[in-house]
Amino acid sequence: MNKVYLILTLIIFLESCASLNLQRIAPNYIDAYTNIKGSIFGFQDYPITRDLVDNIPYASLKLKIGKGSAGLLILEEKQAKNLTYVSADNVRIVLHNGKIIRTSGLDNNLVKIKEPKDSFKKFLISKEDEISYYTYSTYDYPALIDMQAKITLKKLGTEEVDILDTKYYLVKFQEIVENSYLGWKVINFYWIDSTDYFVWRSQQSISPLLPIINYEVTKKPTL
Amino acid sequence: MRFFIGLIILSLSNLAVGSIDDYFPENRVTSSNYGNTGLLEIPSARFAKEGTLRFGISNSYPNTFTFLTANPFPWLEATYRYTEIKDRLYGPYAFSGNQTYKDKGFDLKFLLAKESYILPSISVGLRDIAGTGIFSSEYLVASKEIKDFDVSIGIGWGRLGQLGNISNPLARWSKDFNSRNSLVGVGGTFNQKDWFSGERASVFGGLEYKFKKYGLRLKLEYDPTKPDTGYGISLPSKVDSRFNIGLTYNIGNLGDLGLSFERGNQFRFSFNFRGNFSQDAKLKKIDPPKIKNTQNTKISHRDQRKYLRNILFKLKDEQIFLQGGTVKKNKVEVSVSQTKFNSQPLAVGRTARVIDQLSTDDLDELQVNIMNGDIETSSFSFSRENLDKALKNKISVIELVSKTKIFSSTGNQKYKSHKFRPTVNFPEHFWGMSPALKHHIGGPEGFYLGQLWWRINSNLKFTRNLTLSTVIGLDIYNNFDELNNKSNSTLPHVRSDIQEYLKEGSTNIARMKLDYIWSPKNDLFIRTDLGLIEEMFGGLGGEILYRPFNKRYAIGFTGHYLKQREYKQLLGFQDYKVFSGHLNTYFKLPQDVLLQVHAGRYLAKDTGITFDISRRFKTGFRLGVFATKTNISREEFGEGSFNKGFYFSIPLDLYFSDYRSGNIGFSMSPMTRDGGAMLNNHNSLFGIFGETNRDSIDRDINDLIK
Repeated sequence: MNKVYLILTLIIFLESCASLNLQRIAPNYIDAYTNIKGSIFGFQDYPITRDLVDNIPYASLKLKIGKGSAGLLILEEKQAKNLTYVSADNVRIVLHNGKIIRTSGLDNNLVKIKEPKDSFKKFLISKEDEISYYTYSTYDYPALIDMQAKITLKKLGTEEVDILDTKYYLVKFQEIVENSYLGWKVINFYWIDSTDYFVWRSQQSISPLLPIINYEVTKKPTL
Repeated sequence: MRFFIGLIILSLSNLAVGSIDDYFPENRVTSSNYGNTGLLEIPSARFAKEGTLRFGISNSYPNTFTFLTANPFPWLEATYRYTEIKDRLYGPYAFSGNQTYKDKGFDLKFLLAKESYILPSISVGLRDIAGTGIFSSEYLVASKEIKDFDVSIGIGWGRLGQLGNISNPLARWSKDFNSRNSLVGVGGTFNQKDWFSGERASVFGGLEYKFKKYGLRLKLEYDPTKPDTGYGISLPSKVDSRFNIGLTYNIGNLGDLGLSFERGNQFRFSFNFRGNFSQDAKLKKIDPPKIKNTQNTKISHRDQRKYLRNILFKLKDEQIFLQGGTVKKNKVEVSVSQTKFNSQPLAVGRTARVIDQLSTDDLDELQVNIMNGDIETSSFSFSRENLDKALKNKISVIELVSKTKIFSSTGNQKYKSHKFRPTVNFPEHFWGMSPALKHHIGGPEGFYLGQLWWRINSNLKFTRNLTLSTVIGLDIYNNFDELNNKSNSTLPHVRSDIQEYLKEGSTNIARMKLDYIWSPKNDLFIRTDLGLIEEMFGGLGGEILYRPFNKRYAIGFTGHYLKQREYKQLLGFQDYKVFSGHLNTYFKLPQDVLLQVHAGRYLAKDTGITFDISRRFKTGFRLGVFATKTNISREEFGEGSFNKGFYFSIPLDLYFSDYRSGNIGFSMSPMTRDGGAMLNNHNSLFGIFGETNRDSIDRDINDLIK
């Protein structure tokens, strides 16, 4: 019996023994393990270095959605104060004063958000520590028009932030978003340069159906 | 009038918009104790979304249910279930030790009416229809959502009608419904004469309250089964209350957790995993074309050799392999093979994109002949201008397709006559290895016996179309030595000696066979094979398939002279010989439903017919059932009465961020018997060419410019 297996195994590996290709050993299991590990502990980020960012002639930011790999998004368009960033796989986010006001290419997208004009920036420059107002968000897949949310903004103090080995001293403030009907309550964070009110880093939940979105600006656009 | 029209438009627009309720944490329909959608002991008229698979366990005393529930259509739910009955032993202690009794069951539920603003959803269902009948019940149930309540009321027969609080309403129509004879059968037999029968029936009801914010459902029901009186072979259980109460929590997309208090004295804990495979991939695809849009790489097609060599290398980056190419004036024609993409239009589109990027502006036409195995199955002839427009989103895929010639001429394999043909050094060898599992579930010796083994796959290609495929299994660990239930079948033991095969062939040659596949005429495919065809049979034979490209059917014949392999599954054989063959027909029905009918002679020399119906979802997920009836009696067949089972296959593609072929397959027959057993045909022609007709191409056509 052993002879039969020996001969068969030799036949199978006759051509292969010179260079055993490990990618042929349970490749799907190995990939599946990587995926399961990633979905529990988070996927490894793509290497994004200062050199890489500096060599790209466009403004950019590093974006991480939930436990997915962080990737680099490039500034595609600047219209009024709205900055549209795009990823290699066609995910687009539009930022207005650092707040995500529109997305595309995600499973569920923020189509539009109505809020008091420049409320976000007004709070940045005001002397108040806390303000509240309502926003109305429209989504697709599944479609939902004007979901009301109560927003409470609070200033939290100054923090040192390291983005690709560059240090910034930024004001951190939090944004509490609540919809009592859905029982949806999230806390978003923004790190802002107090001199020009530019948001360098943020952690935002924009929809009850989407995971947390984290971004940090790796190359600032010309404003 | 305008007001009313406005009102109608407004209501319709609201329907289109959807609801904020879609934004709650997961709050989906949940399963009953038995696995079908419902409350605890009673079913509801609710259905999970089509394409959903639910696997779960619900544990209490004396009954623990392990189930698999599938929703192939929005109107059909099927459940296969194992029940452990803890207060009974499987058999004599000397034979099965202290193993508790195990029972198999199969349920079906059909949606009769969808819920409307006024009317409830109505369903009819059959529980434990082909098992021993310990849990056999039939029911008609209505469910209506009233604010956050979901109320279900129904009439039950059989076990669900045990309470007997009404006389059987159907008995007024026919007195035949008055008698319910066989409470417990051998198993596997449809006792349709007993369905909806019995002098008495029960009205049952219950409600669920949805705590939407928290993904919780509170369930309260009045249990019409009477565990205190027993049913069939079930022993009576103490009942302190006929009200059962429970709480179910949706854990996102993953499944549900449940805890309930039943009969006033027992807790039940349940959990299930759930997946909807009709929807897009679980992971977003990040596998864009590798070719970059640049002017620098363009090469004139007038330098044919250099041009096609460049295409060959760039296609290789996309894991597409150029088998040949020809340039004629301003037209290039290529033949390509690949195993990466499940969707043929996706592979064709990627090929066309590479050619488009590499070609100078004076190339007007391109034709891609796509191969499956070593045979060109279809050709796409594009105008360069239209392809360019589609790639730049200036025209839609539909418009591109309307201006593209898609055809098949399998009898004239173009790659053979191409002027540029890359050299292939035969023999080519492909191999791979991975761990694998074998299962033996529900036997009297132990509920689960299994094996962990190392699977080595090898494909040695001697020439085009001629391949030796081998699978060697090396045992890592198994507990099959506990098997001691020899077959008592009166038929030739073509399958029922499975225990001997598992025990003696734990390290085996699972397959070693030579296949030669070719297409002598358009739409006609032939395969001959020789060797150790599957784990239990070896021999020689072949298959012929006629698959008209533009039709939704195919027809073929398979025939093999076979000899039964020795239990060790090496190179030896036993004495049993048989000719087994079938006439095979395949019909593609609407909603991607495939009906297969195989009529002929089976391995035990019985003759009959197999029906196999399956549905393929957009993602490639396939769910199917099969049943075989041959000219042997129920007694000759033994437990189960006739061969039947179900299967599903999940494309690997769904779980990865890149494209890849392959499936995770699962097939289950409640009993391994000898009647109605077919040869396992690896490399069946329909398996290779069934998804290459125009209908399948049209289904995946949007992949053309992905």
